[in-house]
Amino acid sequence: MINKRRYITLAALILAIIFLPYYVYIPFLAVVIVVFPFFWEGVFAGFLIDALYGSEIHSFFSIFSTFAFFSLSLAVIILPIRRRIRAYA
Amino acid sequence: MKPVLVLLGVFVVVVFLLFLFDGAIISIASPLWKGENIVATKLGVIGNFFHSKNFLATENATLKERIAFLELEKAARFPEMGSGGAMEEMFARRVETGGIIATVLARPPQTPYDTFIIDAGSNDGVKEGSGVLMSEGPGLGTVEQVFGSSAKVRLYSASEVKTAAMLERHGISVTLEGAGGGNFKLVLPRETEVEAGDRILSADISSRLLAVVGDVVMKPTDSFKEVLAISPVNIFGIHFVLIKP
Repeated sequence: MINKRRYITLAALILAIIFLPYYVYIPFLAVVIVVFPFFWEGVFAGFLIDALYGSEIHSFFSIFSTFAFFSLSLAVIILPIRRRIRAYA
Repeated sequence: MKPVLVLLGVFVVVVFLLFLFDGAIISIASPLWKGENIVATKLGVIGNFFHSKNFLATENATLKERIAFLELEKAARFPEMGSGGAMEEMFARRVETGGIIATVLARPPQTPYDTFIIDAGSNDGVKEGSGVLMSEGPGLGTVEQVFGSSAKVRLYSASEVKTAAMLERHGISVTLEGAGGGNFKLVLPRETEVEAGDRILSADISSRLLAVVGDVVMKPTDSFKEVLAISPVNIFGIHFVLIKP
């Protein structure tokens, strides 16, 4: 059930990236990374934004200004936070 | 620790994919955007049939847009040069005519950066670095990446893009810096006279209209003034562009 919800959300996210304005899909991506546990697909969604709309990666440092990197950072930051805020035993 | 390593692994794979399959992903998405354009047009026509008031409002908006385009075309014409590039011909410079017309498949705010995806690519003769402009005259940006049947255009207003330009009022050279969303900023010495509505032209011989001064910000203690300029066209509503080789 959780997996099904996860795939549907990923599909909705991909469609949002292709058809909707950035002020819809970027917050959507952030929310999905926060809500779903270990949402590594978010890095791929970030990659999709970069591949479709971003500039070519010219140098090593330009990797750090991609949406894939921002998604990765958020996913890494959220990992320990999610562990600590878990309320049930 | 393990999940972090997995995420890093995914990221490394993604970076490699970005290097290798950039064009392929745009090629896959292009038909979807084309379909979206067709559906949007058809739905618009059907909707207008059932909502005559809305139809009139749309028609009114279209006509207003047309008037704005004509005014823009008039404004973009360099008065001293006349039509047909007489001055260029006088100085034995080749006059570039024609170009490749392309439909804009994706534009801001769909794109988070100031970029366009257009439906013309290397198969149509588009080359990297070609100038992209409105058919009415104003310059928009340059072709950044070319694929088979599509290309990515980086607008002059994209963040961190610097463009050599000329302030028409005094003919002084300036550097236009993109600020995103069709906006620009530039810094001028305090003494330079500049007002809202002044035109900023490209520094090359074509002197295309690039931006119009919107506001001037200056504190009494500053030695420089910051000029905020806007693109003369609404980049959020452009459907066709012209690509000059």
